[in-house]
Amino acid sequence: MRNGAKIALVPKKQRRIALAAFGVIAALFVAASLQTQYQPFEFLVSMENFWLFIFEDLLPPKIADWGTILEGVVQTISMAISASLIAAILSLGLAFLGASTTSPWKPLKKLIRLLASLGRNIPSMIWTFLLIMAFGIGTVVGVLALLITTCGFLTRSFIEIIDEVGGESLEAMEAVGAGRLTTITQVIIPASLPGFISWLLYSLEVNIRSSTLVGAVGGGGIGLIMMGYIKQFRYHSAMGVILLVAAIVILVDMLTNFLRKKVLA
Amino acid sequence: MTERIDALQTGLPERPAESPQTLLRDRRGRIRVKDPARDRVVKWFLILFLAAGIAALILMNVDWLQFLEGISRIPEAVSKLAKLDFSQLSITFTSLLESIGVAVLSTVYSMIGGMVLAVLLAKNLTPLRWLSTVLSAILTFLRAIPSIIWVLLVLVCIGFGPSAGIIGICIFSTSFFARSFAQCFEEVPEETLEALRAMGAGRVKIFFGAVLPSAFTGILAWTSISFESNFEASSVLGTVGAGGIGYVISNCMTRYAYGQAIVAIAMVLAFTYMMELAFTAFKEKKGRI
Amino acid sequence: MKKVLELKKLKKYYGQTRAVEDVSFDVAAGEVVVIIGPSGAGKSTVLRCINRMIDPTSGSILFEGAEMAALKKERDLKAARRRIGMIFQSFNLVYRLSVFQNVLHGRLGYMSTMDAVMGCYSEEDKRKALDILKMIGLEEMVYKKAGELSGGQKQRVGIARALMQDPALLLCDEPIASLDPSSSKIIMDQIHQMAKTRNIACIVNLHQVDVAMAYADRIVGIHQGRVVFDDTPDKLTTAMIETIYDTPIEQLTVGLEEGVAAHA
Repeated sequence: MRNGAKIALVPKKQRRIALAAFGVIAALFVAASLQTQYQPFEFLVSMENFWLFIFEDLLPPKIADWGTILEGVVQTISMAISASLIAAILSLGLAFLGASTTSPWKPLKKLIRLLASLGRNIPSMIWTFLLIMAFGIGTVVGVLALLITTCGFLTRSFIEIIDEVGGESLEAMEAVGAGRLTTITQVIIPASLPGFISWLLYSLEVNIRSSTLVGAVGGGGIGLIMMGYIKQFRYHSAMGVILLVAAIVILVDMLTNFLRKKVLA
Repeated sequence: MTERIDALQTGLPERPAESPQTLLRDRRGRIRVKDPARDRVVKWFLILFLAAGIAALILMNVDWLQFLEGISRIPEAVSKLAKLDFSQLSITFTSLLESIGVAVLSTVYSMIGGMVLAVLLAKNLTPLRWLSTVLSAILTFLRAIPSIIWVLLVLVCIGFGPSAGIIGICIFSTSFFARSFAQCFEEVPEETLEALRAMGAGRVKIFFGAVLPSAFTGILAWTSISFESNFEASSVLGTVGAGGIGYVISNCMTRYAYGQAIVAIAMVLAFTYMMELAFTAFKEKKGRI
Repeated sequence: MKKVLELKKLKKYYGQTRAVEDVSFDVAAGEVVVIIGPSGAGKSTVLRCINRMIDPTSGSILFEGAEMAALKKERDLKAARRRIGMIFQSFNLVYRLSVFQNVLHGRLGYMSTMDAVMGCYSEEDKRKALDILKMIGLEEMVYKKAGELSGGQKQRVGIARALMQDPALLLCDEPIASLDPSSSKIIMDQIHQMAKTRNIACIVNLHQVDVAMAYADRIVGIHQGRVVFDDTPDKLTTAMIETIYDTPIEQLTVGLEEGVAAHA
């Protein structure tokens, strides 16, 4: 435990890292400011416009057509949940083929890690664009785009969790004379289940947010409706939808936090 | 000792009635190997999640025909994308730099803003309890709306350009930083703060002398996470009408210039992948220290 | 007495680095052999070569008359391994599972693949597991999660798991290095008692010379990958201990305590 005299002393190494980090950030900041020509106080000048826009154009929010909007909401939530579910199932299989401790074949492990990296490093909205080429506009594209990115990051996270289960309990299984598949079902799955569930809940939180965005660029659901309103300058209705989205996101976050406490206790 | 062994060798010993551990049995009378009550929550969670997922698939009314047709069109789409076209390379590269610039600026500005708000928000540092509560509610709301939607709204208000992107992303990112920094600050042990207060150190001194250094690792981690997500946002905000590489991509797509689009996408991929490698390397290096 | 294990000229190199140079000794049924030696002398490597968790570079490992080192097929290796129980320094349990399940894991090598994968244990195996748990005094913990137990209790689960294998040979790798003195005594008593009552050949790696003296039928001293002592505890002289550990005895006690502390 630190005592009074020691508190002010920051370890030398940490100070060096802090200085280096600060230097890098400052350099990036200057370069980026020059490159984008961004004036940080520019928006203060247009502040008046800002308030005018908020209070005249956006507020009060309006829900124009409850039927259509509710349908859109259901579609958007369904996109998120089904993408999370399918991605979780696929990623579970892929992760066992891609984890160091369970992979049956090294090249396969490399390939799976590469695919996972490809999936999650391209934003879901860009995947939507690519998928529209083959599938056309609609929820199919939305689900697929979410599915690809979710699979990417769940596979990688699951692999990390499986590898964390680590040598010790696996060593015991080896000593007992148990086979590879037995080790997976009897040791690795029970030991990594909490980690899997935690990431699953996180993917649900992410997908609830992204499904609106993916919808906006052609994935259907409430996002597409909102985008339509904005393009038609119907800002009151757009604001209504945005607030609805915010409410859903907050509710889902509360639900996942509750589940995290309950399930992982 | 010998009685124990005898009991063992005569096979199944009779379980004494006063044994405090009553064995659990399943419906067919077999001994259970685990207490089902202890895993019930997890089991029900998985069942419910599966049910919700299946219900969602049904509710979505997926057009399976469209899906199958789409799959049959994948080779065609891939062949269109495969015709790489580097003619717009310099413009694409400039747009990528713009997207990176937007991500950097919004991260830096929101870091500063987030730091200030975090001090007001953190329960062990805030000067006013009620302020912390009110702020927390506002920030939860700001965080609930994705940054792209904020960009959209700002765009409508101040028009085309990097400013809309920066301000929009900042709104989301600032509240994200405030929440995560506040969490880091709250993890600083209360005894440390008490010791400093006892020494008569002022708020500012406590903050810079003790809180900031102990939360340093957390702050770095959250900054890298936030930068990644800010770049993701800035790389796609072009698709909703703001600038940057996303604009190049969506523009190419609408012009059917797929060869150019895929080059731009590859550049985004290359950058995010490099970032990932850099952060992983950094994390490992930190781990060794 | 029947020899259960005979090691002859066991050698293990990692590239050019020597881990085990020349180790030969044998263990009879019901005999407790304690291996002592400084950290890095190759004690752990010897133990893991015996059940082929590490492949030896050369040498012969005769287990119940059959050559372990020659086993090539995965299936034969597994069949041999299930007759060799192993107890680990860090217990190596699955903490999310119940004590009962962890003990039953000892049977996995004997079950059909299908039953093992599904975790369908026979009633007979369950009875047996309950009896062993009762014998080591954990009958009230059957349905507790392994992670909820204390260190000493965890190691007792480790012992129970090894006993479930009906082992002819028990390998104990630093079984008490992570435990406090009173738990250590219980664990060593139980290992000793199991070896005697069930006629199991037992090899224990230990840091502590005094514990070795108290429990061993025979002590094997390893120094830089070679056996330098192999006899009954009463023959172990101070000079010999100094040779094994390469340090004067006065410094040795301090060094040992530090070693134990580092492992705790």
